[in-house]
Amino acid sequence: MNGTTLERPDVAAYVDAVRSRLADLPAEERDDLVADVEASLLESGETPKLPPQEFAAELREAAGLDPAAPASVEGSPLDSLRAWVSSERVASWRATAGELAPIWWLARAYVAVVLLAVASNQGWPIGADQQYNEVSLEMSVFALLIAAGFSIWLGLRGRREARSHRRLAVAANAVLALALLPVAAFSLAQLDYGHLGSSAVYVEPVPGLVLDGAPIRNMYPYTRDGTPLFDVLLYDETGRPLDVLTGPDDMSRRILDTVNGTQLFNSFPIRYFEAGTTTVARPELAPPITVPKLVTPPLEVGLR
Amino acid sequence: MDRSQLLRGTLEAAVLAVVAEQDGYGYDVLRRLRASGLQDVGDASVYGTLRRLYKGGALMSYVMPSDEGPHRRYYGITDRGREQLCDARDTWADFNRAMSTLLETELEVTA
Repeated sequence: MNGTTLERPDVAAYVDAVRSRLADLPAEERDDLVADVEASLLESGETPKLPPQEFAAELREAAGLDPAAPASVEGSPLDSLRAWVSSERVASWRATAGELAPIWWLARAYVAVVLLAVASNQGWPIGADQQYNEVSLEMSVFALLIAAGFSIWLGLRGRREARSHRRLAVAANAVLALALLPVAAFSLAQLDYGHLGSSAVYVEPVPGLVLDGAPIRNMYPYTRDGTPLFDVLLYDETGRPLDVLTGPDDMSRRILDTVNGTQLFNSFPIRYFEAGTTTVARPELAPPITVPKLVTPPLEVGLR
Repeated sequence: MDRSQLLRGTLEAAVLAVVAEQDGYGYDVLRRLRASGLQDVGDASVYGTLRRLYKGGALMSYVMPSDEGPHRRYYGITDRGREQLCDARDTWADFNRAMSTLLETELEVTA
């Protein structure tokens, strides 16, 4: 059976444990030995019966290499570090990290895209820093998908092939890992700011009455048989007077007053005086409508 | 008789013989050794022996891509490896002759 260590985490863990037992060898020697072992285990479809440390010892002996030096109690700090890196505990951590690597591949893709978007003055989501462009969630998601695909491809390639650019890969991953927390904090801040909550830019509220974003200039009530009504007072659901906000400065508007002299701005339809006069030339003027045929539902619907 | 001890001393010749017959990668060599009757040969011993023979100049190696998994490192025998295999054949023939004589004599005595 063939495959990759991504599909066989048991093989990945075993190979990592063997690699840790060869930590004292030159990197090229170790990588070549482990690459042969990894490829063979993947093809055989099973892990060897020997524990990793015995497998590594047999491998060393057969390859004519010196046996692994026992961990020195009084060694230098570097020796202690090497021994710790070779320990089974670290091997187990590395195996677990190997299994979780795909999560990191996705995270680093996100970090890289955000860093690039911010560095290119696009902001995040893409377009957030552009004064005249709208935030493009679609573009942002597209960039993330491309980056995620590339990152996964790199990750799989790194597992499958000899680590030809290992140092470069380690450095790039380290930079992205360092940027992970700042980018996460930045993204959360953006979320609070509202960039991620909606694909629309912030729109200044239009004062007065609005229908589909356009201000309403007048309203014409009719009875059910199509007769226009005049000087109808309109209120919203909380009892607030509806006002189209033409304002008191609109001198040609015919404004109703209360007996106390208070002006009412919620009487509809609004009618206007002829220019320079105090006469409404066509007081019955109303937009032509088609009266619909109505079916009156009962005011109380009972269940039978 | 401890077969593992016998294998330890003869694995190098066995691996050279398998690779001399046809180039092979680690698991392929292991499989062919087992198919020849060396069922108890260990994975690590074979991979390590391949590596030692390669470093000693008896084998050369090249990498071939595989559609279904990691790249495979193939090993092929070199002139030095062929000489080493020839020597191993002679040594084994002498050893085999001597051992056969000893063991058959012992059998006749026992019978």
